Order: sequence, then structure tokens, then C-alpha cells
Amino acid sequence: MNVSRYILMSLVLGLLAGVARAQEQRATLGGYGELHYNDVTNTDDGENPAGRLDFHRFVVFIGYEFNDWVSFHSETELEHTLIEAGEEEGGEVALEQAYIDLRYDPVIGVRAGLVLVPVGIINPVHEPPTFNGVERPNVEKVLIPTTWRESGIGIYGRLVDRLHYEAYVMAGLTPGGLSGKDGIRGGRQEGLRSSTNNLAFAARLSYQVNLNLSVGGAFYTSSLASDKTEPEAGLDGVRFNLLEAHARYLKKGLEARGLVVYSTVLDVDKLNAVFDKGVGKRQFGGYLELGYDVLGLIAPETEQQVTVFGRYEVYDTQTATEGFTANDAYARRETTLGLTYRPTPQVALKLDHQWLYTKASHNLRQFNLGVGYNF
Amino acid sequence: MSTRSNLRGRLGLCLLVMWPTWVAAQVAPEAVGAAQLQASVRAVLGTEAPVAWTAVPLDAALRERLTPELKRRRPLPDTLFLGRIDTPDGPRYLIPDEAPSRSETFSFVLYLDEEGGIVDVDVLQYRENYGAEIDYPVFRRQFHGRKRPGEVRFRRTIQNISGATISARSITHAVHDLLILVGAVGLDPPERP
Repeated sequence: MNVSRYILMSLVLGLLAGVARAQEQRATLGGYGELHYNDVTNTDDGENPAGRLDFHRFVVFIGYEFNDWVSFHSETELEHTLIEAGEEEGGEVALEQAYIDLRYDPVIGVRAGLVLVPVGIINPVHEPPTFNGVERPNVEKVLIPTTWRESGIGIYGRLVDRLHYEAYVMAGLTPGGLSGKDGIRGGRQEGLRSSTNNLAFAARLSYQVNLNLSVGGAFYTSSLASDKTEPEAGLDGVRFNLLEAHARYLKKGLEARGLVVYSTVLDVDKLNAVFDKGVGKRQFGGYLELGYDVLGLIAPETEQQVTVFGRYEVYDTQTATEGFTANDAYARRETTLGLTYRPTPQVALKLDHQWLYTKASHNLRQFNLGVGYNF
Repeated sequence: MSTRSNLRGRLGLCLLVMWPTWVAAQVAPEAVGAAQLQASVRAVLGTEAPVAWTAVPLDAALRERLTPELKRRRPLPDTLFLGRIDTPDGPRYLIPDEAPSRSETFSFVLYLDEEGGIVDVDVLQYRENYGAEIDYPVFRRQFHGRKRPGEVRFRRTIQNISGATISARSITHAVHDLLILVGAVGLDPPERP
């Protein structure tokens, strides 16, 4: 047996034995994953590149209940199956969440560690069976950079019946990572030796209006006055602010969800003078999705679901610019039509077709297949 | 034994050791916490009266007969813990239990009236953010008055609530299964000798 196989076997056996012991001590184990097939079927230049199969995410949850009110939660992700294929094609291993909850009372708890930024629908709950479409909505990839997590501390709980809140102070964005194309996505620090020069504050309210309708909104603000690599760059007063609102509706076989997000960069001219990445002064986007479980019509006894859905997204990372003309390629519209088959609520087989437009391009189409699970 | 079969053997042994800890069972009242149980009784029934507990034996033959009817895949316990409280409105019965949420376990109490109709389903302790909506009265009200297991069906008679699919399904199945147990042993069964 070669050394690597021996090490692998030892790790697996150690993990299993550890899990066995941990189970007795009120540890919890869970996870999710998703395999995608993406095939760009048409582009502006008429090319038809080969489709790609990618086991996009393999995630393991490990938690531990120290007692009735103190617990640990974590989420570790392997993206794109392996990390030895080089920078361009290789995947990554990342800690997505790792925090301690001190649940003093249903009204107030304290959470500290690497936590999800409580913005949007997908960022807080991103397991594949919970949303339609092989790919997450792009509004919640670009304007809300899911999976968005930072190190911080905050409080959470239920204010009154059906009204839930979260509020955190956390490491902020690093300004050198912002760009005109991808907005704040590159500015996330993700708990990696995060600079505390820029602090952020995030808060969220969620309200269950009735059995069918839930609504929520979030606010996020981060100073951009100091950069990790250019701490003396003269960015005083530069700040990123974001507002988001969403709603979800569920009644019998009908499901609907919608989200709008608006963000602005104050003193963006200073930021662009230093990094020259064409960051927009304002960003705006949203989507609306409607779905219906058609299987419920013909097999009312089954818990299985076949949801036919459609989603329309608009988003622009340069809704407004200062000192230069906005890039038409960043004003995007997307239509997604597809099916989600859930043999059980925690497993989803997905199929969809996407039409992606920008002001500069009119002809990008993509076909997607996927399978996802969570437990 | 070859290295590969040796590895399989060790993996199998680990899984065997882990298996009993992966399954849940209907729980004793002390397992969910006396203080939480008392607070639940006060909130649901509005009384401080003590609960009289009966440990109802579930013999192997009964368990074998009922198992195919269950929604949750778990071994039936050999004992059902049934509490009784006398209220001005008549006797009320309590059954504490646990069920899985997304990645943890939550405890709850099923309340029944003397006819076996559901008075309430009260979540005692829910540790996760995700799925906590199952404790909202607007969700719990869906169970009220239902008696037969067939009347407690996820996404049919009990509607899902946004963002809480796993927990809503889990508690619906758990309540369904408890109604099957109660249907088999009755509300005033003989206690374990």
C-alpha cells in the first residue's frame, strides 16, 4: 500500500470513529452537494463550446451541542472536486461557516465566528434542493455575492411572534477587490486573515405574514477607507451601502419568490482613482420567479414534486457611474425556464434553459442539468 | 485478507458502531427537560397542574405490525411515554418526542384531547435558525382538531412554510407516527408492570 493510500484510509477511519464518538456526545453531521452540466448552446460569435460536467460543490456540516443553549455550527466546502489541477481549472477548499451560538433565550442569542452575511434569499439558505434552477440566481451571485461570509459577532432572535432579526458587526470589504463587472464579489475577505481596518454592519428582519407569505429585508454597510494591500491609498470617506428586500409565497402547488437589491459606493471616484477598476457608483437588480408543482395535480397523494418554473432577472453593476461611461455588457437580463423534480424534499434533479442578454450581446443561451441533495 | 477487503471490514465496523447513534426514538419526559415541559404546559393549557406519566409498553409484535405504517424511518421504541393532565375542559394528554431539523434535532410535545384530537403541537427547543418557523402558531394551527394519521399529511393537509421545508416535513411525519401509536394503544392503556 502506498503512503498516500494509507494516509487516506487513516483519515477516513479516524473521521468515522470520531463521528461515532461525536454522535454519542450530541454532535451533528450533515451536508449538501450538487453536480452541474452546463452547455452554452449559442453565443454572439456563433461558437458552440463543449458542455461541461462539474461536481460544483461538496459540503459537509459538522455541529456540536455543548449544552441546551451553547452550540457550534460549521460548513466546509470542496468546490470543483479537486485542488491540484492548477489555478485556472482547479477547485478550492473553503470554510463557509464556523460559529458559536449562545442561545440565551428565543428573544436573544449571541453568534460569533465566521458567519453568513444575512442578506438575500439564497445566501442564508443555499442548499440545492431549496431553490429552482441548476445555477443560483445571478442577482444573488453578483450583487449579493453568495456564499457571502465574514468573521464577526452579532445577535439574533425573535422580537415578537413571527418577526425574526439578526445583526452583526463583521470584517468589511477590501476595496481593491471591487470591480465594475463583478461588483463587490472580489471584495469579500471570507475570514482569511481579514483586515479589521474596514468594519461592516449587517442587519436583517424576517416576518412571516401568514402561512403562505414571508417577507424580509436587509441592510449592509462597509467602510472602504483602507485596503489590505494599499492601506494608505487615500480612500477616506469611501463606503459601500446595500439595501435588499425579498418575499416568498407558497400555497399548495404554487410558489413564488422575488427580490430587489440596491447598493451604492460613496466617493466612488476616489476608489476608481486608486484601483482603476471601473466600479459603478450604483448597482441595482432583482428577480421574480414563479413555479408550480404539476405532479400534485395528477398525484395528490405523493410527496414528490415536479415544479415547472420561470425566472426573470435584471441586474446592472454600473447602474450609475462617475467620470466614465457605463459598460453596456454589465446591464444584464436573464430568463430561465425549467423543471425541478424532487423525489423527496431533500433531493432535486434539475433541468433548465437560460437566455442571457446584455445591452451589448443578445444571443447567449445555456442549457443546464443538475442533481443536488442536502441532509 | 487483502488490503482492500481489510479496509472494507474496518469501514463496516465503524458504520456498525455508529448506527445505533444515528436513529432517534420517542423520548422520556425527562429527556426534554422538566422546566421546558412545564413552561409548555402553562403556555398551551394554561395550568400549573402536575403531569401524571404512564410508561406504556410497546411489545415486539405490535412494533412489527405498526412499523410499515410509519412515515419516519426509525425503530419504534419499546415504551411510549404518555402524560395526562386534568383541566376544566377535560383530560389532556401529552406525548414528548424529538425529530430532526436540517442538521440538528428539536424536541416537541403533542397535545391531545380525550377524543384523541390534536390540541396543539408545541416545539420546546429549536436550536437552528433555519426552519424555526414551525413553531409559529400560524403553522401549528394546521394540526388542531386532526385525529387520524391520514389527516396529517405533509404538503396535503399540512402545508409547508417557506424556508422550513425539512422541519415542517419532519414534525408532520413525527406527529403522524405518534397518532398511529396512540391509535394502537389508546389514551388510557395499562402501564408497564
